[in-house]
Amino acid sequence: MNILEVKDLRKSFGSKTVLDGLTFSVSEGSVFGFIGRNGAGKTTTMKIILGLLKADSGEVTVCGERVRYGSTPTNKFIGYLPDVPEFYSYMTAKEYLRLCGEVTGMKQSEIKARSSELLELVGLAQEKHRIKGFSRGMKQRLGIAQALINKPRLLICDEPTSALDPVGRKEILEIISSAKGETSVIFSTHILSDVEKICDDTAILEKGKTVLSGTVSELKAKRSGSDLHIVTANAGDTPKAAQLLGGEIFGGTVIVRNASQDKIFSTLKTISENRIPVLKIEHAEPDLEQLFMEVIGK
Amino acid sequence: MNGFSPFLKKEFFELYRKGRLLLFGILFVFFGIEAPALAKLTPKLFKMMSDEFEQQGIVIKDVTSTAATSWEQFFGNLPVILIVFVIVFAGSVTNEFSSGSVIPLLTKGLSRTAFMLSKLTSTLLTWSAGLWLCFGITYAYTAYYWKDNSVQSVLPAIMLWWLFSVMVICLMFFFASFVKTHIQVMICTGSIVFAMSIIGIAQSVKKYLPITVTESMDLCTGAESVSDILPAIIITAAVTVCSAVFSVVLISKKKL
Repeated sequence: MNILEVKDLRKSFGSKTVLDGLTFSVSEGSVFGFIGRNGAGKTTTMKIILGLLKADSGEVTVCGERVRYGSTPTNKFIGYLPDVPEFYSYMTAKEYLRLCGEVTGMKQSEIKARSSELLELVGLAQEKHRIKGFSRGMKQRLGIAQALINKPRLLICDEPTSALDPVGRKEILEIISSAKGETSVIFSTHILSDVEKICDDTAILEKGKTVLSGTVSELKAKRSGSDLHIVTANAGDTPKAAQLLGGEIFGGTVIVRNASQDKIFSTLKTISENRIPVLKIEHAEPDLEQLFMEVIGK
Repeated sequence: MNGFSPFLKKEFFELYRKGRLLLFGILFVFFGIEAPALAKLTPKLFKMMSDEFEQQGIVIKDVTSTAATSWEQFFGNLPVILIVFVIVFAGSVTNEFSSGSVIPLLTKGLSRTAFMLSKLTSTLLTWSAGLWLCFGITYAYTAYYWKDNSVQSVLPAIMLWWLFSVMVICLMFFFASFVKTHIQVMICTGSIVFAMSIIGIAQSVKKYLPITVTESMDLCTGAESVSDILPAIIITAAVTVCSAVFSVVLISKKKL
C-alpha cells in the first residue's frame, strides 16, 4: 500500500512554475529519497503535502485520505521536520515535546513515556538546558523527536542533513534509519551520498517534474556501464578529442560512455596516435551523482 | 478548535519565562502607586522650590492636590503603559510566522483559529489583569489620602479606557494577521490611533471617534456623561469585535 500519493501536482508563484505535473508515490515502510537541486520545488511539495500551501491543481493523498489546504486532518498521520526547525528557545527539549504531545491530543502519561523514549533515541535525554543553547545538530535531533512524538505513519524530513557537519549528518541518518521500523520516511536532499546510504526508493525532481524514479540500484542500473573521463591539457583540444573518441563534453571534460576494457584501449590508442596532451584520464564507476548531473543536464 | 488550551498554556508559560509577566507586573504596580504618590507630593515639591521661584520673581501660593489630581495623573499614565505593551506584544504573531516556530505545531493539528484565539486571550487577560491591578492600587491610595468630592465616579471612565485599550490590542492582532513584521504591526496600529487624534480636532466628528472614550477626566468630574459619547462607545465596541473576528479569518489565509 502507498502511504503517500502525489498526482499531477502543479504550483506556480507568479510567472514562475515550481511544480509542473509532479507525480510520485511512497510505499509503506520505505525510506524515500526526494532528490533535487536547491530551488527545484522540494520544500514546496512538502508544504503542499502538509496542507501549509495550496496547490494550483493535482491531488495528494496520505494513507488514502485527500490532503486539504489549511488544517488538514491527514496531518494526524504525519510527522514533519522542517529544513531549519525553529522551536521555542525558552523551553527545554522535554517541555517542547510535552507541548507537541498536548497539541496532538495525547494523554499526559503517554506523552511522558514517549518523550523519554524519543529523547533517548535522539541522544538528548541528559540535556537539561533550554533550547536557546542548542547547536544546529541538537535542534535537528529534537526536530526528529517532535516529528515522531505521535507515532506518525509518515515522517517528512526536509533536507535534514544539509546544514550539518559530517558527524551531525551521520547521527541524523542513523536516527532516521532507526525510525524506519515504525514509520515510512520521505527525505528530501541534494546530498546524494545520504540517499545511497539510507534510501530504498528515490525520485529526482527537475523543473517541477519527476525525471527519474525507482530504487537506488534501479537508478544506478540505468547507467549501463562505467565512463571514461578525459581532461585535455589544452582546452582547445577538447572538442577535437570528443569528436575523435565519440564522447560528450560535460563541463570541459570529455566523457566516453560504456567504457569496456577494449574501448579503454582503443581510446588510449586514439589519444596517442593523435598526440593529444591530456591532464587526466579517469575510469569512473557509475554513481548517483553522475546520473543526477546527467538528468539535470549539467 | 484543536489545540487551544495547550497553546494558551504555552502563551502564559512564554510570558513567564521571558520575564514579561514580571516586567508588566512591576510596571502596573509602579504606575498604580506613582499616580497618587505624585499627586500627594506635588504641594510639598512646590513648597520646597518656592524660595528658588521667589528669587526669580515667581510667587507660588498654596498649591493643593485633590483626588482629581491623582486620577488625572493615573489616566495620563495609561497611554504610556499601553504604548509599551503594544511595542512588546506587536511581534507575538508575526515572529511565530517569520521564524517558523508555529509550523511544527500547525502540522501537529493546531488550528489557526486556536492559534489566534489563544494569542488574543492571553494578551487581553494579561493587559486587563494589569490594568485593573493598577487601577485598584491607585483607587485604594486615592480613597485613603483624599476624602474630597472632586471626582464623582471613576468607574465609567476606567471601563471605557479599558474598552479603548482592548480595541487597540485587537487592532494590533488584526494587522498582525496579514502584515509580515512586528514593525509593520506597530506602525499600522499607531497610525490608526494617531489618525483618530488628528481627526478628533474637528468637533463635529469627535463624538463618533473611539479616542473620545479616553477623555476620562471629563467623565470623572461629571463634565461629560456616558450618554454624550454613546456613538463613540458603540463604534469602539464594533471596531473591537470586527478586528478580533477578521484577525481570526485572515490568519487562516496567511502564507507560511
